[in-house]
Amino acid sequence: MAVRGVWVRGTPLAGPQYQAPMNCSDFVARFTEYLDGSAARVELEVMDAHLDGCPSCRRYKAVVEHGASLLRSLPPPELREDFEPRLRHRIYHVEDLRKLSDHASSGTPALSVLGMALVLTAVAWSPALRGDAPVIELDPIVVDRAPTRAPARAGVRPASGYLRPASLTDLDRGLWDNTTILYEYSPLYQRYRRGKGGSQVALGSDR
Amino acid sequence: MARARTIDRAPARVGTGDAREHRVRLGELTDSEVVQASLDGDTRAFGELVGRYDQRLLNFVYRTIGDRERGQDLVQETFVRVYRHLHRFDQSKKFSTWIYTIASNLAKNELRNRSRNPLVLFQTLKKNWDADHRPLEWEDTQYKPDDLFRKRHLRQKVEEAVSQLPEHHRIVFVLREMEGKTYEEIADITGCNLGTVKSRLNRARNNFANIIAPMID
Repeated sequence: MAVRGVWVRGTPLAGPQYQAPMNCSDFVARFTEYLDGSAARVELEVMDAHLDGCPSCRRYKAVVEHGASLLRSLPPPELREDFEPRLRHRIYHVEDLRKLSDHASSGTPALSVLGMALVLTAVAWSPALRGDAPVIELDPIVVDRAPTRAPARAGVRPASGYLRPASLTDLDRGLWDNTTILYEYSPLYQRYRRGKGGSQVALGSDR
Repeated sequence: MARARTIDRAPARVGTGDAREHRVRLGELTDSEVVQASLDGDTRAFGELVGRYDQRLLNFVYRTIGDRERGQDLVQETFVRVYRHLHRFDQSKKFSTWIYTIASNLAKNELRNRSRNPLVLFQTLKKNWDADHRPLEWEDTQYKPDDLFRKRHLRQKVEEAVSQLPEHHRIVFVLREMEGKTYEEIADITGCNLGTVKSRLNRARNNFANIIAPMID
Protein backbone atom coordinates (compact mmCIF):
# COMPACT_ATOMS: atom_id res chain seq x y z
CA MET A 1 0.00 0.00 0.00
CA ALA A 2 1.54 3.27 -1.07
CA VAL A 3 0.89 6.33 1.02
CA ARG A 4 1.74 9.95 0.67
CA GLY A 5 5.28 11.18 0.28
CA VAL A 6 7.03 13.33 2.82
CA TRP A 7 8.94 16.58 2.85
CA VAL A 8 12.21 16.28 4.71
CA ARG A 9 14.67 18.93 5.77
CA GLY A 10 17.47 19.12 3.27
CA THR A 11 20.80 20.85 3.37
CA PRO A 12 20.97 24.65 3.76
CA LEU A 13 21.73 24.91 0.07
CA ALA A 14 19.18 22.48 -1.25
CA GLY A 15 16.33 23.23 1.10
CA PRO A 16 13.45 20.85 1.92
CA GLN A 17 13.19 17.85 -0.34
CA TYR A 18 10.24 15.73 -1.21
CA GLN A 19 10.70 11.99 -0.67
CA ALA A 20 8.62 9.68 -2.78
CA PRO A 21 6.06 7.58 -0.91
CA MET A 22 7.06 4.14 0.25
CA ASN A 23 5.13 0.96 -0.42
CA CYS A 24 4.62 -1.88 2.08
CA SER A 25 7.20 -4.26 0.66
CA ASP A 26 9.84 -1.50 0.87
CA PHE A 27 8.79 -0.86 4.43
CA VAL A 28 9.09 -4.54 5.40
CA ALA A 29 12.42 -4.84 3.61
CA ARG A 30 13.86 -1.98 5.66
CA PHE A 31 11.96 -2.68 8.83
CA THR A 32 14.91 -4.04 10.81
CA GLU A 33 16.91 -0.85 10.38
CA TYR A 34 13.85 1.19 11.22
CA LEU A 35 13.17 -0.81 14.39
CA ASP A 36 16.76 -0.69 15.56
CA GLY A 37 17.13 2.97 14.64
CA SER A 38 20.08 2.36 12.36
CA ALA A 39 18.49 3.82 9.23
CA ALA A 40 19.29 7.31 8.01
CA ARG A 41 17.17 10.12 9.37
CA VAL A 42 15.55 10.82 6.02
CA GLU A 43 14.60 7.21 5.62
CA LEU A 44 13.18 7.07 9.13
CA GLU A 45 10.94 10.01 8.37
CA VAL A 46 9.68 8.40 5.19
CA MET A 47 8.94 5.16 7.03
CA ASP A 48 7.18 7.05 9.81
CA ALA A 49 5.04 8.70 7.20
CA HIS A 50 4.25 5.34 5.69
CA LEU A 51 3.29 3.94 9.07
CA ASP A 52 0.90 6.82 9.71
CA GLY A 53 -1.13 5.95 6.69
CA CYS A 54 -0.78 2.15 6.55
CA PRO A 55 -2.70 0.05 9.10
CA SER A 56 -1.23 -3.26 7.88
CA CYS A 57 2.34 -2.07 8.45
CA ARG A 58 1.34 -0.70 11.84
CA ARG A 59 -0.02 -4.13 12.65
CA TYR A 60 3.19 -5.73 11.40
CA LYS A 61 5.28 -3.48 13.64
CA ALA A 62 3.03 -4.16 16.63
CA VAL A 63 3.27 -7.93 16.12
CA VAL A 64 7.05 -7.93 15.91
CA GLU A 65 7.42 -5.68 18.96
CA HIS A 66 4.94 -7.65 21.04
CA GLY A 67 6.48 -10.96 20.02
CA ALA A 68 9.95 -9.74 20.90
CA SER A 69 8.79 -8.51 24.29
CA LEU A 70 7.13 -11.89 24.94
CA LEU A 71 10.35 -13.58 23.96
CA ARG A 72 12.33 -11.48 26.40
CA SER A 73 9.85 -12.23 29.15
CA LEU A 74 10.33 -15.98 28.85
CA PRO A 75 11.80 -17.47 32.02
CA PRO A 76 15.46 -18.28 31.48
CA PRO A 77 16.39 -21.97 31.62
CA GLU A 78 17.81 -22.91 34.98
CA LEU A 79 21.25 -24.32 35.41
CA ARG A 80 21.41 -27.84 36.78
CA GLU A 81 22.62 -28.19 40.34
CA ASP A 82 25.63 -30.17 39.25
CA PHE A 83 26.65 -27.63 36.62
CA GLU A 84 29.33 -25.99 38.72
CA PRO A 85 30.84 -29.15 40.29
CA ARG A 86 31.01 -30.77 36.88
CA LEU A 87 32.65 -27.73 35.36
CA ARG A 88 35.14 -27.55 38.22
CA HIS A 89 35.93 -31.23 37.69
CA ARG A 90 36.49 -30.73 33.98
CA ILE A 91 38.68 -27.67 34.54
CA TYR A 92 40.71 -29.67 37.04
CA HIS A 93 41.36 -32.28 34.38
CA VAL A 94 42.30 -29.63 31.84
CA GLU A 95 44.89 -28.35 34.29
CA ASP A 96 46.07 -31.87 34.94
CA LEU A 97 46.47 -32.65 31.25
CA ARG A 98 48.24 -29.37 30.70
CA LYS A 99 50.79 -30.19 33.39
CA LEU A 100 51.30 -33.63 31.91
CA SER A 101 51.77 -32.28 28.41
CA ASP A 102 54.18 -29.61 29.67
CA HIS A 103 56.13 -32.31 31.43
CA ALA A 104 56.12 -34.58 28.39
CA SER A 105 57.01 -31.86 25.93
CA SER A 106 60.02 -30.77 27.99
CA GLY A 107 61.90 -33.95 26.99
CA THR A 108 63.03 -34.55 30.57
CA PRO A 109 61.73 -38.15 30.86
CA ALA A 110 63.46 -39.36 27.72
CA LEU A 111 66.75 -37.79 28.71
CA SER A 112 66.59 -39.07 32.27
CA VAL A 113 65.82 -42.63 31.10
CA LEU A 114 68.71 -42.50 28.64
CA GLY A 115 71.03 -41.18 31.31
CA MET A 116 70.07 -43.87 33.79
CA ALA A 117 70.62 -46.55 31.14
CA LEU A 118 74.10 -45.20 30.42
CA VAL A 119 75.01 -45.11 34.10
CA LEU A 120 73.81 -48.68 34.70
CA THR A 121 75.72 -49.92 31.65
CA ALA A 122 78.87 -48.22 32.82
CA VAL A 123 78.52 -49.71 36.32
CA ALA A 124 77.95 -53.22 34.92
CA TRP A 125 80.95 -53.06 32.62
CA SER A 126 83.31 -51.17 34.86
CA PRO A 127 85.22 -54.29 36.26
CA ALA A 128 85.88 -55.57 32.75
CA LEU A 129 86.91 -52.12 31.55
CA ARG A 130 89.27 -51.71 34.49
CA GLY A 131 90.73 -55.19 33.90
CA ASP A 132 90.19 -56.39 37.47
CA ALA A 133 87.35 -58.83 36.80
CA PRO A 134 86.94 -61.23 39.75
CA VAL A 135 88.44 -64.72 39.22
CA ILE A 136 86.65 -67.71 40.76
CA GLU A 137 89.01 -70.45 41.74
CA LEU A 138 87.66 -74.05 41.94
CA ASP A 139 89.33 -77.24 43.20
CA PRO A 140 90.99 -79.23 40.38
CA ILE A 141 89.27 -82.49 39.25
CA VAL A 142 91.67 -85.44 39.40
CA VAL A 143 91.05 -88.35 36.93
CA ASP A 144 92.87 -91.64 37.69
CA ARG A 145 91.87 -93.60 34.54
CA ALA A 146 90.47 -93.01 31.09
CA PRO A 147 86.70 -93.72 30.60
CA THR A 148 86.06 -97.19 29.06
CA ARG A 149 83.70 -97.72 26.16
CA ALA A 150 82.87 -100.85 24.22
CA PRO A 151 83.99 -100.82 20.59
CA ALA A 152 81.27 -100.04 18.14
CA ARG A 153 79.96 -103.11 16.27
CA ALA A 154 78.27 -103.28 12.97
CA GLY A 155 74.44 -103.62 13.12
CA VAL A 156 74.16 -102.52 16.73
CA ARG A 157 74.17 -98.85 16.83
CA PRO A 158 71.78 -97.22 19.21
CA ALA A 159 70.38 -93.89 18.27
CA SER A 160 72.38 -91.04 19.56
CA GLY A 161 69.37 -89.84 21.54
CA TYR A 162 69.46 -93.00 23.62
CA LEU A 163 73.10 -92.66 24.48
CA ARG A 164 72.72 -90.76 27.69
CA PRO A 165 75.55 -90.53 30.18
CA ALA A 166 73.74 -92.99 32.46
CA SER A 167 73.70 -95.74 29.77
CA LEU A 168 77.48 -95.73 29.46
CA THR A 169 77.63 -98.05 32.46
CA ASP A 170 75.39 -100.53 30.60
CA LEU A 171 77.82 -100.47 27.73
CA ASP A 172 80.56 -101.08 30.15
CA ARG A 173 78.79 -104.15 31.47
CA GLY A 174 78.55 -105.52 27.91
CA LEU A 175 74.78 -105.48 27.72
CA TRP A 176 74.82 -104.66 24.07
CA ASP A 177 77.14 -107.58 23.38
CA ASN A 178 74.40 -110.10 24.11
CA THR A 179 72.85 -110.51 20.66
CA THR A 180 70.25 -113.03 21.85
CA ILE A 181 68.61 -110.52 24.16
CA LEU A 182 68.65 -107.91 21.49
CA TYR A 183 67.05 -110.30 18.97
CA GLU A 184 64.34 -111.70 21.28
CA TYR A 185 63.06 -108.29 22.20
CA SER A 186 63.05 -106.94 18.66
CA PRO A 187 59.84 -106.77 16.51
CA LEU A 188 61.63 -108.83 13.85
CA TYR A 189 61.98 -111.76 16.25
CA GLN A 190 58.30 -111.59 17.20
CA ARG A 191 57.31 -111.90 13.56
CA TYR A 192 59.57 -114.83 12.84
CA ARG A 193 58.39 -116.72 15.92
CA ARG A 194 54.75 -116.36 14.85
CA GLY A 195 55.64 -117.66 11.36
CA LYS A 196 57.34 -120.81 12.74
CA GLY A 197 54.17 -121.88 14.57
CA GLY A 198 52.22 -122.08 11.25
CA SER A 199 50.01 -119.21 12.16
CA GLN A 200 51.26 -116.94 9.44
CA VAL A 201 48.21 -115.53 7.72
CA ALA A 202 47.50 -112.91 5.23
CA LEU A 203 47.32 -109.34 6.46
CA GLY A 204 43.98 -108.40 7.83
CA SER A 205 42.64 -111.97 8.16
CA ASP A 206 44.07 -112.98 11.57
CA ARG A 207 41.08 -111.71 13.55
CA MET B 1 54.44 -22.98 31.62
CA ALA B 2 50.91 -21.75 32.25
CA ARG B 3 50.11 -20.89 35.78
CA ALA B 4 47.54 -23.05 37.53
CA ARG B 5 44.05 -21.57 37.55
CA THR B 6 41.00 -23.11 39.08
CA ILE B 7 37.35 -22.21 39.46
CA ASP B 8 36.56 -20.84 42.85
CA ARG B 9 32.94 -19.91 43.20
CA ALA B 10 32.35 -20.85 46.82
CA PRO B 11 29.38 -19.02 48.32
CA ALA B 12 30.33 -15.84 50.13
CA ARG B 13 28.97 -17.01 53.46
CA VAL B 14 31.56 -19.77 53.78
CA GLY B 15 34.43 -17.57 52.65
CA THR B 16 36.60 -15.46 54.87
CA GLY B 17 36.20 -11.71 54.96
CA ASP B 18 39.17 -11.31 52.65
CA ALA B 19 37.70 -13.75 50.15
CA ARG B 20 34.42 -11.88 50.17
CA GLU B 21 36.14 -8.58 49.61
CA HIS B 22 38.18 -10.09 46.84
CA ARG B 23 35.05 -11.37 45.16
CA VAL B 24 33.39 -7.99 45.44
CA ARG B 25 36.47 -6.38 43.90
CA LEU B 26 36.38 -8.87 41.03
CA GLY B 27 32.72 -8.06 40.50
CA GLU B 28 33.60 -4.43 39.92
CA LEU B 29 36.15 -5.16 37.21
CA THR B 30 35.47 -5.21 33.49
CA ASP B 31 35.61 -8.49 31.61
CA SER B 32 39.05 -7.70 30.24
CA GLU B 33 40.38 -6.96 33.69
CA VAL B 34 38.96 -10.20 35.06
CA VAL B 35 40.54 -12.09 32.16
CA GLN B 36 43.88 -10.48 32.96
CA ALA B 37 43.47 -11.36 36.63
CA SER B 38 42.82 -14.97 35.69
CA LEU B 39 45.87 -15.03 33.46
CA ASP B 40 47.90 -13.57 36.32
CA GLY B 41 46.96 -16.56 38.46
CA ASP B 42 43.97 -15.25 40.40
CA THR B 43 42.12 -18.45 41.24
CA ARG B 44 38.76 -16.72 41.69
CA ALA B 45 38.83 -14.72 38.48
CA PHE B 46 37.70 -17.53 36.19
CA GLY B 47 34.82 -18.27 38.56
CA GLU B 48 33.79 -14.64 38.19
CA LEU B 49 33.69 -15.05 34.41
CA VAL B 50 31.62 -18.22 34.77
CA GLY B 51 29.20 -16.39 37.07
CA ARG B 52 28.80 -13.57 34.58
CA TYR B 53 28.10 -15.70 31.54
CA ASP B 54 26.72 -19.11 32.51
CA GLN B 55 23.05 -18.08 32.54
CA ARG B 56 23.28 -15.86 29.47
CA LEU B 57 25.09 -18.48 27.44
CA LEU B 58 22.64 -21.17 28.49
CA ASN B 59 19.75 -18.97 27.41
CA PHE B 60 21.38 -18.31 24.04
CA VAL B 61 22.39 -21.92 23.40
CA TYR B 62 19.06 -23.29 24.57
CA ARG B 63 17.08 -20.93 22.32
CA THR B 64 19.36 -21.85 19.44
CA ILE B 65 19.32 -25.64 19.74
CA GLY B 66 16.03 -26.09 21.63
CA ASP B 67 17.35 -28.66 24.10
CA ARG B 68 17.98 -27.63 27.70
CA GLU B 69 20.08 -30.61 28.77
CA ARG B 70 22.32 -30.53 25.76
CA GLY B 71 22.53 -26.77 26.13
CA GLN B 72 24.11 -27.21 29.57
CA ASP B 73 26.70 -29.56 28.14
CA LEU B 74 27.55 -27.09 25.42
CA VAL B 75 27.86 -24.22 27.88
CA GLN B 76 30.24 -26.36 29.93
CA GLU B 77 32.24 -27.09 26.84
CA THR B 78 32.33 -23.37 26.07
CA PHE B 79 33.83 -22.59 29.46
CA VAL B 80 36.36 -25.41 29.17
CA ARG B 81 37.51 -24.05 25.82
CA VAL B 82 37.67 -20.54 27.18
CA TYR B 83 39.77 -21.78 30.08
CA ARG B 84 42.07 -23.74 27.83
CA HIS B 85 42.64 -20.91 25.34
CA LEU B 86 42.34 -17.84 27.54
CA HIS B 87 46.00 -17.00 27.00
CA ARG B 88 45.25 -16.70 23.25
CA PHE B 89 42.38 -14.26 23.70
CA ASP B 90 43.09 -10.93 22.05
CA GLN B 91 42.36 -8.48 24.84
CA SER B 92 41.78 -5.63 22.43
CA LYS B 93 38.50 -7.39 21.51
CA LYS B 94 35.38 -7.80 23.62
CA PHE B 95 35.41 -10.90 25.79
CA SER B 96 31.65 -11.32 25.46
CA THR B 97 31.96 -11.48 21.66
CA TRP B 98 34.66 -14.11 21.96
CA ILE B 99 32.76 -16.35 24.36
CA TYR B 100 29.54 -15.99 22.35
CA THR B 101 31.45 -16.94 19.21
CA ILE B 102 32.65 -20.15 20.85
CA ALA B 103 29.16 -20.98 22.11
CA SER B 104 27.63 -20.15 18.74
CA ASN B 105 30.06 -22.43 16.91
CA LEU B 106 29.32 -25.26 19.32
CA ALA B 107 25.59 -24.73 18.86
CA LYS B 108 25.97 -24.76 15.07
CA ASN B 109 27.97 -27.99 15.25
CA GLU B 110 25.29 -29.48 17.45
CA LEU B 111 22.57 -28.62 14.95
CA ARG B 112 24.66 -30.00 12.11
CA ASN B 113 25.28 -33.26 13.96
CA ARG B 114 21.65 -33.50 14.92
CA SER B 115 20.55 -33.25 11.31
CA ARG B 116 22.71 -36.31 10.63
CA ASN B 117 21.47 -38.24 13.66
CA PRO B 118 17.66 -38.43 13.89
CA LEU B 119 17.82 -40.03 17.36
CA VAL B 120 18.35 -36.64 18.91
CA LEU B 121 14.81 -35.69 17.94
CA PHE B 122 13.66 -37.60 20.99
CA GLN B 123 15.31 -35.05 23.24
CA THR B 124 13.33 -32.28 21.61
CA LEU B 125 10.13 -34.19 22.26
CA LYS B 126 11.15 -34.71 25.87
CA LYS B 127 11.71 -30.97 26.28
CA ASN B 128 8.14 -30.26 25.19
CA TRP B 129 6.89 -32.94 27.54
CA ASP B 130 8.58 -31.14 30.43
CA ALA B 131 6.91 -27.88 29.51
CA ASP B 132 3.47 -29.50 29.33
CA HIS B 133 3.79 -31.17 32.71
CA ARG B 134 5.14 -28.20 34.59
CA PRO B 135 2.80 -27.27 37.45
CA LEU B 136 0.76 -24.14 36.93
CA GLU B 137 2.35 -21.12 38.59
CA TRP B 138 0.11 -18.38 39.88
CA GLU B 139 2.32 -15.48 38.95
CA ASP B 140 -0.15 -12.70 39.51
CA THR B 141 -3.25 -13.00 41.69
CA GLN B 142 -5.03 -10.31 39.69
CA TYR B 143 -4.89 -12.46 36.57
CA LYS B 144 -7.74 -14.74 35.79
CA PRO B 145 -6.91 -18.36 34.93
CA ASP B 146 -7.93 -17.66 31.36
CA ASP B 147 -5.38 -14.87 31.15
CA LEU B 148 -2.72 -17.08 32.66
CA PHE B 149 -3.51 -19.85 30.24
CA ARG B 150 -3.48 -17.44 27.35
CA LYS B 151 -0.20 -15.92 28.46
CA ARG B 152 1.42 -19.30 28.83
CA HIS B 153 0.03 -20.42 25.51
CA LEU B 154 1.43 -17.31 23.85
CA ARG B 155 4.85 -17.81 25.39
CA GLN B 156 4.87 -21.40 24.24
CA LYS B 157 3.92 -20.35 20.73
CA VAL B 158 6.61 -17.68 20.74
CA GLU B 159 9.18 -20.30 21.77
CA GLU B 160 7.96 -22.57 19.02
CA ALA B 161 8.11 -19.74 16.52
CA VAL B 162 11.78 -19.20 17.35
CA SER B 163 12.53 -22.90 17.01
CA GLN B 164 10.84 -22.93 13.59
CA LEU B 165 13.17 -20.30 12.17
CA PRO B 166 15.95 -21.51 9.89
CA GLU B 167 19.18 -22.09 11.81
CA HIS B 168 21.20 -19.13 10.51
CA HIS B 169 18.22 -16.79 10.97
CA ARG B 170 17.56 -18.10 14.45
CA ILE B 171 21.06 -17.43 15.77
CA VAL B 172 20.98 -13.85 14.52
CA PHE B 173 17.46 -13.33 15.83
CA VAL B 174 18.23 -14.66 19.32
CA LEU B 175 21.44 -12.66 19.55
CA ARG B 176 19.57 -9.47 18.65
CA GLU B 177 16.22 -9.88 20.38
CA MET B 178 17.24 -11.80 23.50
CA GLU B 179 20.86 -10.91 24.03
CA GLY B 180 20.64 -7.37 22.76
CA LYS B 181 23.80 -7.62 20.66
CA THR B 182 24.63 -4.91 18.13
CA TYR B 183 24.87 -5.66 14.42
CA GLU B 184 28.65 -5.44 14.61
CA GLU B 185 28.81 -7.91 17.50
CA ILE B 186 26.49 -10.31 15.70
CA ALA B 187 28.67 -10.03 12.60
CA ASP B 188 31.75 -10.90 14.68
CA ILE B 189 30.04 -13.79 16.45
CA THR B 190 28.55 -15.36 13.36
CA GLY B 191 31.42 -14.51 11.03
CA CYS B 192 29.12 -12.74 8.56
CA ASN B 193 29.31 -9.22 7.20
CA LEU B 194 26.94 -6.47 8.33
CA GLY B 195 24.74 -6.69 5.25
CA THR B 196 24.17 -10.40 5.78
CA VAL B 197 23.34 -9.81 9.43
CA LYS B 198 20.76 -7.16 8.54
CA SER B 199 19.12 -9.23 5.84
CA ARG B 200 19.01 -12.36 8.02
CA LEU B 201 17.59 -10.43 10.92
CA ASN B 202 14.96 -8.84 8.71
CA ARG B 203 13.91 -12.19 7.31
CA ALA B 204 13.89 -13.76 10.76
CA ARG B 205 11.65 -10.99 12.08
CA ASN B 206 9.38 -11.34 9.10
CA ASN B 207 9.06 -15.13 9.58
CA PHE B 208 8.58 -14.70 13.30
CA ALA B 209 5.81 -12.15 12.76
CA ASN B 210 4.06 -14.42 10.26
CA ILE B 211 4.07 -17.34 12.73
CA ILE B 212 2.83 -15.47 15.77
CA ALA B 213 0.52 -12.96 14.08
CA PRO B 214 -2.59 -15.19 14.31
CA MET B 215 -2.15 -15.43 18.09
CA ILE B 216 -1.66 -11.74 18.77
CA ASP B 217 -4.65 -9.42 18.82
